[in-house]
Amino acid sequence: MSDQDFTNRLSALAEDAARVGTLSPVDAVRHRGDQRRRHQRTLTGVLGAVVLIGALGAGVVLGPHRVTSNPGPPAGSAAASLSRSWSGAKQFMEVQSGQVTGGMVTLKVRPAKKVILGESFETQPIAGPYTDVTVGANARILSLDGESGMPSAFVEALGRRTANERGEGFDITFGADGKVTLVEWLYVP
Amino acid sequence: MRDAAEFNAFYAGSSRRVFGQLYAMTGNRVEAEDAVAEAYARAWQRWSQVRDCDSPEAWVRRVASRIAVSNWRKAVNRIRAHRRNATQSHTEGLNPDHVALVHALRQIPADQRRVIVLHHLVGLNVAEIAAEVGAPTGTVKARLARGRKAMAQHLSDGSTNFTGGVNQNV
Repeated sequence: MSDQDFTNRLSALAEDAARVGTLSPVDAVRHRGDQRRRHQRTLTGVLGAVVLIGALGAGVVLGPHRVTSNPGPPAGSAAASLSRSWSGAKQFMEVQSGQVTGGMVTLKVRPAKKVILGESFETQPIAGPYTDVTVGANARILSLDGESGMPSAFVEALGRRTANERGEGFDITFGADGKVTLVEWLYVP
Repeated sequence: MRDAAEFNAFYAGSSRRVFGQLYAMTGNRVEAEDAVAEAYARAWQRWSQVRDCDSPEAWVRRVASRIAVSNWRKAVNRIRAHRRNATQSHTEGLNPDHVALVHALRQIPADQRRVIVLHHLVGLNVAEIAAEVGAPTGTVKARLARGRKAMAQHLSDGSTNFTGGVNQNV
């Protein structure tokens, strides 16, 4: 088959498929878009309110005592506290990167929002800093096929992700000690 | 109202074409229908920006293919099962020759299928495909070559001239 024949066959297939495909009515598509727009507005509003309340709260605490107040806890301590708050729970998170140091694996993570879209989902980032979490020695990394992998291989795989894939979230389970016990791929890297 | 009328015309003029391309990319009618509907919904959601793109249709196609990939990611096991067991339901109504072509397309990896569709169906050159899929041109050429070679092997007519080479000028 020549290149041109191949192009012709593909074009004929696309035309045939377009003939048999059932496309949503345009009104339904616009309705879906309007819903997404409203949802986005609500989410933005909620996030804005959270930021505003947080800022006001900080102002109330720091305002009158700014000069004499003690410095806040160091960033590492805040991160440890955040990590502890995830203890024993499964979180949907973005993983920015990973690191293997002396056999210990750490991941930079932050919570994300899983927006269900029919049978699929979309990862919506939640603004905020990434937190270093430690991966437990016996932690498992599960592929979509249910195959178990090593945390160090996971760190390598993180580095190979494309720009598009970096925005995808993972299900991460934390143990009682705040260490990661399970990372589940939700997409094929 | 003007926006809605403009979007309606855009949808009427492009959606079937985009669907055909997505069908070839996914080899799955249901996935293609879902991805196309969702991509156009997102286009309407931010129509004031999308309408000013160089090509709103290319924007929708890009988004739809990403959604389709995302669908595969989420439900890859289910889709693998579909590929094994439910080929007929996703090719219902197609000409038998096209069913064979869809079957061959399904045998090759998604990234190869995508560049093949973008090149042979959409008519993009290697540089344009590289920009659209976010991969180096060398990677695109390799995917095209491998994909075409694999397709040639899978197609039932026993192609002899379709060697899978990539024209350096495309």
